[in-house]
Amino acid sequence: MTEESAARQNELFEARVKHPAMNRLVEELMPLLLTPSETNIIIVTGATGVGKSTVTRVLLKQLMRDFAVEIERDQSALPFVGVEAYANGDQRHSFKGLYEDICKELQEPGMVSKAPLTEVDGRLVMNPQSRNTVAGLRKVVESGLRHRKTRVCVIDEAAHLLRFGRDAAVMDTLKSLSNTTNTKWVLVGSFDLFDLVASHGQIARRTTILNLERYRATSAEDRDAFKRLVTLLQAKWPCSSVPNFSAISNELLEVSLGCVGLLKNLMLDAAALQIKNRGEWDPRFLRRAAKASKLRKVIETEIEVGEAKVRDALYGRSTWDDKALEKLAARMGGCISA
Amino acid sequence: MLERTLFYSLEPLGIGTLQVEGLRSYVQRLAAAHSTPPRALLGTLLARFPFGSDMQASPAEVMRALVSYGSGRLIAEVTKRLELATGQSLEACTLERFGGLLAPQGFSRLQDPKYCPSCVQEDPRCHGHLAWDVGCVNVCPLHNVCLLSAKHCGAPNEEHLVLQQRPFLPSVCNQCGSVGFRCVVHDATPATAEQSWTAAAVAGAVAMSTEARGRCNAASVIAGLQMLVDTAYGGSSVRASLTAGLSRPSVGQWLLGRGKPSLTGLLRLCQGANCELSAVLQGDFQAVEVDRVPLDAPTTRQYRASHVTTDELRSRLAEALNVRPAPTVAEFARQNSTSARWVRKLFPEEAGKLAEMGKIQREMERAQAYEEALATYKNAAEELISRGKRVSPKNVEKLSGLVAFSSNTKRRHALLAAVTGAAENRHQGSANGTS
Repeated sequence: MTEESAARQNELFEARVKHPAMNRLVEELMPLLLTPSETNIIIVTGATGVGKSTVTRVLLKQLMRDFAVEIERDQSALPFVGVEAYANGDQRHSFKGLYEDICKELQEPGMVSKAPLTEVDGRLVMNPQSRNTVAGLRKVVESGLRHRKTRVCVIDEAAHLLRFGRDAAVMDTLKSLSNTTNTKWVLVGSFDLFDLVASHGQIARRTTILNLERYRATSAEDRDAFKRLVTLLQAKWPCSSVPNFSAISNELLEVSLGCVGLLKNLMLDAAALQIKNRGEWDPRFLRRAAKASKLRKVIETEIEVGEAKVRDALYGRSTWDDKALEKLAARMGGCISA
Repeated sequence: MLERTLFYSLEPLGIGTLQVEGLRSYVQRLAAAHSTPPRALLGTLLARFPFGSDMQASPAEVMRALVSYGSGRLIAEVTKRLELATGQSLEACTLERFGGLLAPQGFSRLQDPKYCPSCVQEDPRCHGHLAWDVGCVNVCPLHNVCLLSAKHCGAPNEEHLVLQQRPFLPSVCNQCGSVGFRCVVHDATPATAEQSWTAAAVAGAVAMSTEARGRCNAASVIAGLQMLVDTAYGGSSVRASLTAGLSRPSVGQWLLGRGKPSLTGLLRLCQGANCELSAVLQGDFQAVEVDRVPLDAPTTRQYRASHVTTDELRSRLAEALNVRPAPTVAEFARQNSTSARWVRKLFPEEAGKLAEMGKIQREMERAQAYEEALATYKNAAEELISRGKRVSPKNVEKLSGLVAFSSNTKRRHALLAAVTGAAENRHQGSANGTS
């Protein structure tokens, strides 16, 4: 592979395309984040490869635009932070790593010399030993969020939080952090995140779930949007001889289950095969690049189960159906002037 | 990553009021917000914004300099760096804002930080006022009660925290961590009228706005002083100095601009004239609205030196040689309103004897201190043995409540002697038990 083709392959890999569902989700999400309410934890779920990490980036960019005035006015303020809840191979790990990442994002200086203060029976004691404990780090994080005037914390790959402890304990921690620091927490991750909420009514009261929809083959609007997406990715093709993917966009939609990530995987593998074949395209590359049918089935089943799990818990899906709502509206009449 | 200030943008409290916060208190609060000791915070600050090659100061030296006045560029440079690191204007929190106006001697309280018992009772998390850092302010201008030393802890020794655990906040006892100095229980002492007058005048001056401070300079102080002498003392500097109990040449030199007035001297002149200190600094004269507070007579200078003859001085020196403990030459000179140099010149033999006696006396005091420390440590070591605990320097220190700092050689030796002795006794005891 030449340097030029490697660079172009990387360009295709790095390409991020916003799709209409993503825009809709961000539009729904922003008012929840910017207005004060008791809904302090917002969960953004979606199928694997549907573009959740892209949604995180889009959200952070949008937050940067919305808080621009505040950031400009106060040189120390960090109105939002974004971190990733990573998995480090342990079967179980604690909030320590997450807190350390938040401290890093909060630009907390002198982490090696921290000595959190604790008040016991009217006495204040410095605890240099607690700088490496979860409790000590939590104090540092709380102080940082308060003083940096942080209002939104975004955690990508939040499903890894499930390994931090019992679901209720994880959510209780986030809830109390949110209460003490007056911040809203956005957890972005797979459908498993629903398990965090389902455990406790207290938590469900403070939580809203949004789902990033995948492209549906049954919707004409989605098919057109998917075709535009294929055309955009096709424009970044790393070889001079470019296969006409947009002509088979419907088939690609079906094979990728409407998930952009899966489509990109297919196209990246096909491009690699073409580069290896000295830039000559062979239609058989498509078959080799597409997910094996058994693996595809596994993914499809997981997506369907996940979607079914969160379907009735999504934001806007209240107990009132269209008919009931019509009745309510009729009884309420017009608005009363304040 | 967004470029943000190094530290949180913590607002200094009480700006423009009598309770304006001092820089030491600000740094302590900032450090507490960052969950770090103040020295470590200053270390981080200097690592990010280092001094130029022409200036060197450790975080500990910077910490001490936070309340200093007339310490050259150091405090100005530190304030500039803190402003960069927090995005806040901190000029109003330093005593250095009066730099170049008044003489630095005795201006700030470097060693013994104070607090107002009534302020901490009202708000156990209150900040430290800048006025408390001024050397001549001994009472709170708000409550008119005497300030207390923050170094005094009322809790028993067992409750004292180890050094690493001691918090640094203006309204928290550093030794036991008691919030709002609840460990100190005695009633607040009411201030005298003169103390209250001084505190109010200084607090009014430190609360001066940046614009008002801009009007103050060396020339404005001389102009203000001249106006004060003209208005209140009929234009006579001699009358002014006699009323205020100051030396006549000093006041004359200040008026000629050949020396900077001391804060205490200027305060006495203002008190005698019942006028605002802040107005004088700005080159103006403004009467204080409250009733005149008469100057305390004992502090008025007596010019006794002119009445002491050489023979009297000799006889007093002979008496001083028989007094136990004997005064030092400097103390003797002060008691007789003369200079130590003059005493040494006139009576070199007697002055030498006095110095020799002082030396012997200091050695005795040191030996006594050593014995006392040894006894305290021994008692603690024996107590530890009786409790079946390990006798280590740390345990002995903790139990005795007497800290043997590494710089205090006598106390360190006493500690080691006590610990070694205790270990030997125990060894002998166990050997006897075995035999």
